[in-house]
Amino acid sequence: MFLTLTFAYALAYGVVQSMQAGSGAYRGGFTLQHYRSVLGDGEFLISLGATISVAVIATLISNVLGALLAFAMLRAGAHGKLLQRVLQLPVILPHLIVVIMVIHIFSQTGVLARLAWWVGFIDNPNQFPLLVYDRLAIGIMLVYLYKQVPFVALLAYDTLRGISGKYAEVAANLGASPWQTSTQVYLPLLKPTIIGTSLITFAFAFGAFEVPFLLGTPVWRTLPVESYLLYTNIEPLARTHAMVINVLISAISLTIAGLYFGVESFLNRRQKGGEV
Amino acid sequence: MLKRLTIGLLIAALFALTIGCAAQPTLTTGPSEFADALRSARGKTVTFYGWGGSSAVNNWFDNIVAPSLLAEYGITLRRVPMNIDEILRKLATEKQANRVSGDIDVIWINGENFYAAKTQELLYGPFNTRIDNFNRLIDPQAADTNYDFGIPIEGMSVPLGRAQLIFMADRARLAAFPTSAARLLELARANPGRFTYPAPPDFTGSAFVRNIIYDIVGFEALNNAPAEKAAIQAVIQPALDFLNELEPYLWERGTTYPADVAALDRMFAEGQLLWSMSYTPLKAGQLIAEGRVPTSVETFVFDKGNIGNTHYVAIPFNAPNKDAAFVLIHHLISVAMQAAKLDVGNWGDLPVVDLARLDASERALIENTNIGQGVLPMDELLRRRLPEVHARKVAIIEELWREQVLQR
Repeated sequence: MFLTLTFAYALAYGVVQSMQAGSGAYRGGFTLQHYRSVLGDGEFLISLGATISVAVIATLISNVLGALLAFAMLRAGAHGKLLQRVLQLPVILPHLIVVIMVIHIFSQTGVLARLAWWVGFIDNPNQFPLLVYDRLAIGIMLVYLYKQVPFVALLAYDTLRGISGKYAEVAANLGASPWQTSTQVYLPLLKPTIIGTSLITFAFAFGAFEVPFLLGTPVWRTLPVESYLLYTNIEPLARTHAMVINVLISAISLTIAGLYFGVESFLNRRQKGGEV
Repeated sequence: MLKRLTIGLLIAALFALTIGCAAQPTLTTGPSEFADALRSARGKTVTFYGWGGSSAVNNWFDNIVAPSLLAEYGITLRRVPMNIDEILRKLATEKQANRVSGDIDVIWINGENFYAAKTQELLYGPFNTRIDNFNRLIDPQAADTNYDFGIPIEGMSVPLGRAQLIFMADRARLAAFPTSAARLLELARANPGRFTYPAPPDFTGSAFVRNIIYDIVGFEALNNAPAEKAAIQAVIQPALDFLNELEPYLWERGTTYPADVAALDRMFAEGQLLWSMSYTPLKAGQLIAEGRVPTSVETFVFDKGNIGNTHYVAIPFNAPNKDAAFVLIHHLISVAMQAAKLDVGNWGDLPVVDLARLDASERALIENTNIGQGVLPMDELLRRRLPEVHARKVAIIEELWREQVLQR
């Protein structure tokens, strides 16, 4: 209740500010002109494209790798259970700590660069490829994958273990190869979990501020970073534009959340229908 | 559903309240004589609102200013850490609500925020010449007594301290320092990938770009240009061309830039870059004291000078204790407090008092203050100090840099 109220208030406040005609202390009527100018701005469109790209790529890679890892863990038996414990560590680590880890390991003066220098591959830091603060967002991706692959793997592993072994036995009896069992028995049963984790990983990567802020390039910026910079800009109008971006981020995230609940209840209904 | 509707209505009601129409409040006037303020303020509590994000700054206020203010004037200092934009929002709301007695006596402010506060009439004044130490210690002709980021002050704020852009390099690794834009280009050519600067809108990176503009087209040209994009671009084009000429010799051939000055400092401390920069003039001393850089690191500025800005204190229109506010400001700009503020162990912020107006013992107090290793002395910095341009031009320059340099 409290959570809903604070969220609703903040969102309503943002919506009001984003439609305010005046600026600063002087408030005028309501207008959609700020939405028009933000949506018509090339910089915003680049930002939107970049944010979606980063979120989609991070989601695809982490869900595919996470699901594969879960299958591998299932195959590995007792070792899989051990790995399950190990994978809990990255899931509970805060993103900020992972950001610092990535800087320490992958920056041009990080552990890998020092190793490359020690082996003799490079003789100064600038020769080491730029893996953080880079234009391809490799640094940002590394953080997301480190956090999200274990997250997906753990949930998928739980689902897979919950699937009765009988299905696999029946399939094997009917002459299915292990590959066919995986793709035609386990994968469909895993689908609801993966859809759920995909939406969660996408929503996070889409709305995350601190990771792209700390590891991103200034050449292009994700929407939350763009919004922050606009909010701290001196032009009174910039702050209104920041609010417009915040409202758009919230709208997209809420749509994703809506999709998640929609898909979940649809799948639940279908599953129940199938049983009857 | 009904519950949700109620919540919605409640929120709508809250908004309706804040959007109410603004009326002109009647201002309470402060004491006209400083002696009156001294008398009536004794025993009161003065409330200071300002940015609280630096432990060094907070320490100076809480452990140096507060005890001496109580001992000398019998006034208790209450410091409330709050970001200036929130403070101004609070004052604007109070102004709209016609609240004639607020709860803030003194605020810490400069640049665009001062501009916003002044144009929205959130400040009390003019009051500066009613402060004893202002009349005795501050140079009334100094550029920063009269203009804050190009905005006429007109007695609405009093300088508290000065910052200045400086560069740092290690004498052991770089024999000659880049003391002009042209020298920077030569050195970058000779040492490709070893120089760069933080991308604006990082505060320091933005100041660096303006410093290059000053070096190439001069402060006056930029200052005289109207605050419109086309006019600014016409004036600073040679500087933008220069930055593009410099770009291929920068770190990562200028395809990307460090996002903030902290990244630049890290690359400098680890030897990847040959220089770093800071808007904290005594930064080199701090880095040396922390053991992050060797003692051979030195501070330098361009021959034509480096950008500096000044931060100020002001009194809100509805300050409840204007007399105590006068005394606090008087105390903040006293020689003793300014010298303590300069001490690199406390804050390391340049004083605003005019050295020429001090007597021998006061001057000794400032001159004997520990400013740390590898830094430039205060008089050298002040001699090579260039003012900031209007805050609106800063934003336009940042936009032009992004379009014409970064994304080209």
